[in-house]
Amino acid sequence: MTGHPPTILVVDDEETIRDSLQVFLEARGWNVVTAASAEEALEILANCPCDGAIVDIRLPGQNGDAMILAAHPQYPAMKWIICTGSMEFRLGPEVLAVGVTSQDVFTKPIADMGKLVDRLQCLLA
Amino acid sequence: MKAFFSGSIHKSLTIIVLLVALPAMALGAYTMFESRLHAENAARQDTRGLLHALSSIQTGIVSEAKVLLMALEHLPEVENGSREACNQRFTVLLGDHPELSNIFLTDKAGIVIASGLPAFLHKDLSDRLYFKEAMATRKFSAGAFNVGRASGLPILVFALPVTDGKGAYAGIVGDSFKLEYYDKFLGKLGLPPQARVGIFDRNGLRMLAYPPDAALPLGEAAAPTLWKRIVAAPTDEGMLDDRQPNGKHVLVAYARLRLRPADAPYATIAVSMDWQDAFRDARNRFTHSMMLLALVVVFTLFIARRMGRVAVLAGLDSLMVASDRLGKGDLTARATLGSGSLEIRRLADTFNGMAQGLESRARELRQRDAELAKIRNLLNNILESMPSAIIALDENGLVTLCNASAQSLCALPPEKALGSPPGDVLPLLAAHLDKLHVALCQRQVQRVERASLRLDGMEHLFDLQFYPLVANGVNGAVIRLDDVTERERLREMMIQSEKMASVGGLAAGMAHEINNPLSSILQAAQVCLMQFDPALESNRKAAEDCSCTIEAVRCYIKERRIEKFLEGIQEAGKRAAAIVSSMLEFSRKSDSRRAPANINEILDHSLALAATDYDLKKRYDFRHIAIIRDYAPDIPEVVCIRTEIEQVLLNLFKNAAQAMAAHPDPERKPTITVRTRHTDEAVSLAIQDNGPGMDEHVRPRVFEPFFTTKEPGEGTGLGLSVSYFIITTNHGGTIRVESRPGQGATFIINLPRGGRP
Repeated sequence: MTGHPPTILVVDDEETIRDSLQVFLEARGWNVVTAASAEEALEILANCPCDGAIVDIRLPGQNGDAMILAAHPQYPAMKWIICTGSMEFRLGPEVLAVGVTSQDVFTKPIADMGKLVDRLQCLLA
Repeated sequence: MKAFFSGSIHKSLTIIVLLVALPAMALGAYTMFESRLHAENAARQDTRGLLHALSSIQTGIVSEAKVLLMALEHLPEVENGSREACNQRFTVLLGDHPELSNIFLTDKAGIVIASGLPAFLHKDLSDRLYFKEAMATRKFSAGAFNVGRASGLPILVFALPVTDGKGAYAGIVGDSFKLEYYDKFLGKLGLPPQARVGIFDRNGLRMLAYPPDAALPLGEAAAPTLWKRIVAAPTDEGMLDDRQPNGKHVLVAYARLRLRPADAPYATIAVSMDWQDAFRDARNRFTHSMMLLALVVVFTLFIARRMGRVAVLAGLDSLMVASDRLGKGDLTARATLGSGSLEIRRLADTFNGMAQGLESRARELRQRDAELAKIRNLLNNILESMPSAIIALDENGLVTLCNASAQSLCALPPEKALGSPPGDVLPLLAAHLDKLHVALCQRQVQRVERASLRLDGMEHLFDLQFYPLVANGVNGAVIRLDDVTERERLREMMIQSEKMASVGGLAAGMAHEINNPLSSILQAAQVCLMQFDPALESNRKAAEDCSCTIEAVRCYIKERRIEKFLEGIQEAGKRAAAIVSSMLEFSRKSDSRRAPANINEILDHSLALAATDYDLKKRYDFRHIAIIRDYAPDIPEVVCIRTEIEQVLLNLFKNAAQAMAAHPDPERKPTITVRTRHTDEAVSLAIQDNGPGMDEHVRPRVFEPFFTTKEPGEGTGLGLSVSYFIITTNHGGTIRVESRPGQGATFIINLPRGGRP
């Protein structure tokens, strides 16, 4: 948080979720870019580097965790928050290797986005 | 005839011998009869002959006397009446005629003037019959029985009148005949031994009895009846049958003797013969032959017996002994061969053959019996060891057989069950007698599935099958009862677990799909609420852009209760999220916190939790419920997730408390019984309440998610579903419920000791 606000990428195929997160984060003064799919997210990242991302796992094309693994080599400094509707989701070893911990995994529904943002802020700090 | 020979062979043989002897006896009798006839004739002839002989002798005596007297009549000394000369002459004559006791001469007046015996001289004979008659008739005459006055001997006197030289009757000349002389004649005559001779004078006095008999003294009168018959007889000579006073039956031949045909008889000769004596010979002969016959019969009997024994009875005896033994069941009994006659031997042979047949038949029967017993045992074993209860009925539908399984179900003891109608034996069957009837009458197999029967307080289900018996003409039916309680329970559990597995999968899939829109709802609601927060500068700026203040916006939102509705959306969303989260428990598998634990302790802890549970305390005070702990001591530990088990138990206690409170029964104190048991592999827990219980429609569905009987809002309908998955999925155990309306409910949990396999 030095100088300029962080830029956060929100990847979710559900528009309301994307938008509500965007509004919520922007209310904190953060910059937000959104993508409805992993492919779109990777395109955006190529043009607009981000500090962190909130990624849904089940996406129309590439899955969220695959996207993280794909993006990480290019943007190793990026912080990742996983937000999934599936309770069976377990962190794979590769994702763990990227530095994502179970504390960074949130299960939908997200009743209070504040906790998620708090965690993200903690990661970015 | 048959009855005659129905006795023993000995007896029959005796009878036969006697029958054979019978003609001989008849012959003997006939011979005797003939001998008798012959003897009778002989007796008659003898008697008659004797009579004639005696008559001749008598006639001879009379003639002799007459001749003598006539000779004397003409002697000169008689004619002269010369007494001395006469005496001399008479004495000489007496010496020549010993049969005479005296010769005498009387004068006209009857005085003896000359006599051979001097002692007789001068005796007066005028009163004598012979004198009077001779004098009267002037003819030869005979006297009557007399005892000589000079000789003292019994005599018969003959007299002849004598004339003197001038033709005038001067007296009589007489001689007296010694009656004893008859004996001499008769002795020479050779009388038959049975003959009796009597000579009577004209007055019926006995002059002679031969042989001499003291009972028949001379000079006595003859037996009056006989004498009368002789006197009255029309002919001078004849035969009479006479019965003597002593009872003797005698034949009497008589001859009345006359000196001259016109004269009265001067003497009567009677020859009697005792029939007994006459027949003695015949009788003796008969007796003799009969004795001989008897001897022959006895000998024959002896021979018959001996020969019978050898020829018939020897074989028969052995046959009889053998048949006796056979009759008494000794099948090894055999008759001795080779003795007795052909028929007996053949009989013995046949008998032995028969006995042999019987013996081998008996052996065969024993073998077959043994085989049958074996088969029967086998069948019995099969029947008795069958888990199915078998009840056999006869054609009248009465019980003829109950196997062990059936007996354990029966209301009646086995001895009473036999012969009773099946409805009495097993009340369960009473409701299905129509099926039994169809099976019996129409020969069709009938089935009833899951008939309910309460045994020892437990609900049991039975499949009933009614089989008609048709083979081998044995009519009847067999009822087979199979306890399908366990099978049904397993089936139910299988259905349950399949159902629940699909529910679990479905819930997991659904959860994801629901969580996303839920997240949208919740996030959107949160953003909405955030968008009129006056603390945010952006909100204030946005309001101003809209030509109003954030306060006005807030006021409007408050006025229209928009904030409250948004919060409502948030609440509902969170509740839905909780439900989804619970549903996800169905499939969540967590190995964390798994540790060995004592189920009794967990139960105690859960009961303590229930007692302090706020929710419970609020509505159903757990302290009013009696708790009965029936714990198995030394229960082994179970590897489990303690908190999850506690969650399950607490849920069950809650349900029980709620059910009992919802249907209070003043008769019954609410009671929860907790019971633990264990086997080598597993531990079981039973939580039993005495609440209202469940019916058939509720019971199978209690584990379904969202199935609830509680008032809306009182429960989610997930408690038992979650419990189910905790026990089955997480612990590899089973949970089931037993319940009937009004009988309370029992939840039974089985946990493998090693935890989830």
